[in-house]
Amino acid sequence: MSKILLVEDDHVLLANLSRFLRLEGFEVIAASNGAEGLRAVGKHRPDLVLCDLRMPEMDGETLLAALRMDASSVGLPVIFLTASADRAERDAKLQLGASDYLVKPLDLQQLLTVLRRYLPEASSE
Amino acid sequence: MEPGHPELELDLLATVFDVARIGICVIDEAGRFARVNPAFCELVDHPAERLLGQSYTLCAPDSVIAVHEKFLRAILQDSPKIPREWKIRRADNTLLDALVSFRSLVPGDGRRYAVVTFSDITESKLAKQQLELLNRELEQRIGERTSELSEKIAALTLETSNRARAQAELLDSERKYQRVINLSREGFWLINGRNETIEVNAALCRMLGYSEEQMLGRTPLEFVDDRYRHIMQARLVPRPDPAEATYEVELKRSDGSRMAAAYNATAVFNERGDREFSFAFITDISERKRLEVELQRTLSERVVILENSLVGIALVRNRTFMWINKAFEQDLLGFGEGELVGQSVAVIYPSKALYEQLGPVIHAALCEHGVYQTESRVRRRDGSLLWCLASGRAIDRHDLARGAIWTIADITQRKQAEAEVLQALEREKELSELKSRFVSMTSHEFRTPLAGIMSSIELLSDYGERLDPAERTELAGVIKASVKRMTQMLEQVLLIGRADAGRLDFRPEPLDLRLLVTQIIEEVRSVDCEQPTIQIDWRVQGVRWVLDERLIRHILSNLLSNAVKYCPQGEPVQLGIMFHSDQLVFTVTDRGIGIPPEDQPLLFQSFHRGRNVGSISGTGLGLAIVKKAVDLHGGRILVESHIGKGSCFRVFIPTPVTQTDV
Repeated sequence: MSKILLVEDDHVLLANLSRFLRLEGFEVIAASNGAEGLRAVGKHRPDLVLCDLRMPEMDGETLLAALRMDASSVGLPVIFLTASADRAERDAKLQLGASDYLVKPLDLQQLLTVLRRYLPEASSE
Repeated sequence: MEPGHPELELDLLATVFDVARIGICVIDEAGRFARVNPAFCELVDHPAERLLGQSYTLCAPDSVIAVHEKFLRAILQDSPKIPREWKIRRADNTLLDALVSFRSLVPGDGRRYAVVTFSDITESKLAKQQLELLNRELEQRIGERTSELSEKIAALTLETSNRARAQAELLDSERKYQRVINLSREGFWLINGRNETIEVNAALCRMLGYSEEQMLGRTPLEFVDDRYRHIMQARLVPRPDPAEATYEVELKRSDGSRMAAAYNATAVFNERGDREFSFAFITDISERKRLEVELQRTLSERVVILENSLVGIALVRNRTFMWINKAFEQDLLGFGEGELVGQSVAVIYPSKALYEQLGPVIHAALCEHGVYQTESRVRRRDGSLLWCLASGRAIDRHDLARGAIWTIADITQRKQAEAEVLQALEREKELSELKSRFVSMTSHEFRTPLAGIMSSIELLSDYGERLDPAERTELAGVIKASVKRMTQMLEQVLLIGRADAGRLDFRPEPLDLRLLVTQIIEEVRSVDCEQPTIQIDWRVQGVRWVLDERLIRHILSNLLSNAVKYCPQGEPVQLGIMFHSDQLVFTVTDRGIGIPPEDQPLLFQSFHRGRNVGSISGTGLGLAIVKKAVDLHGGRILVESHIGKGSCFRVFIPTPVTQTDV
């Protein structure tokens, strides 16, 4: 079972996404800010990180940078969840090393599609 | 005596021989004296006995002695070559001159004899010599005299010609002078010691309209206007003082009109110190007078223009005010009239340092370009500073000593306008920045609850059967709360819009404050899933208050939700309500992130958010709404906040107490 680290400061979304992912058969580790997320990566070794961009303590970008600098997590798929309407801004984030991004409000089905792209062995029920 | 008697003849001859005053001698062929007469003896001063038989050389000069034989022969032969004047030697060896005649004689004895007669011409010779000498002397003297005379004549001639030349020159000069006098445009007036006119020139006659004859003999007094008589009289005295002077007078023309004239008079004195004559040059100054008046008028005009100019104008020389107009001195700078003339320009500089600093700069600019312009502040008399546009132009940039003309214009208004424009631009920039932040934040603020709604609905619809009822209820709650949140935000925006447009009403009515407060707290708590703690410190009696319910709701709910939002979890928020000197005082205190001091002045501006909010959501409109609501109540709001420690908002609402209702 794939392990997904979900880093999101909006607790509503955090709860709903966690619920959804679990229902879909993923193991979910939840973190509500970047710092927590980074610690969680070290502790739980997820297979993928779903990460909001704007968060207190440490934002998505910084988390990504930290992950990419660490040899053990340099290839870890990181998907940004962004509310930004600016296409250029979103593409710029990709340049930083994110594997992909999704725009809020999330389409859960679309989320699944993207997840399967990066976690091919994820089972679907 | 009868001729022909030989003894008579002989006696006669013998007598003659003896008596004759002429020296006679007979010399024989050997050159010896054969016979000598007494006269001869007297001549040579030898007695006869001495002479007879002697050689004639005894009585001959050295020159003859040298050639006595030839001489003798010549005599004996009657040679015409022998001179007829001989010198003979006397006994004392002196020589005397004699006129000689000789003839050779051959008397009966066959021998040849020479008869020589001597006339002593010494005296006559001497006389002749003397005469000659005298003659010569005379001639010499004559010559000398003649040459003297010639010299004198020559000198005289020279003198005469010099005189003539001098005279000619004098005449010439006289003529020239006359021409000058007559051609001069200045009037010329010559009077004698008795003040009678002896000469006037054509110009003067023309000026006064009289002929020369009409003026001769008359005194200048007759031609001067009464008002200037005293001046003329002062000149016509024996010793006018000063000897030369110029006056401005008016002269009377023949037609009665007056002519303004400059009268330059000079008195000429003889050796005794009496005034021999005076002459004057008269210049018609009517034109000059007219020009003077014209100039004065123009000058006055110019002065009026300069003085009434609205622009300050000053002439500055060597950094000193030489002349300054009213606009500059009095209107602009507030000095009294004349206070600045002669003063250094340093007086109007804001500081001595600036005066010293700008000196070389201005100097260099004036030298190179001839102009200098600056926007600067000047110091008024009362010390206040005034923004001005100052322009200086050198009168001659190659000779800065001549000074420069400075113009000054008050640009306070312009500066103000500029400042205002800048301010407005700044504000606009700020506003625009804030607005764009609002736009981006709003999109984030809306997307978050929308995401919540979306995910909740998707879960409910797609996985609803796999969720337990509690979860389903929770999701429904999330949807409701999210919708509420978005609605609130919308309302805030709409409210602020209405408030800005002045369409927010103030409708106070009696209400139950306690109830209202309780409701508000509930609402605030319901929006937030964390269930924050809000403590109430209720210090008023539960009375009915006259308030605008909606506005109070806005005030309290915004303040409370802010307190909750910017507070770390678990920290309680306190709401205090009390009544103090006719005012309701609401106090909302939190121990949250606090408000940075730089943001505090801008706290109540729309869209403004503290720079330390991080990712905490918010529209930046809450406090703006609070402020508007407080203002409409006629109240005040105060903030006290420290970063990291928390904030305390105090709202004072003036309100009369209506009735007590417990």
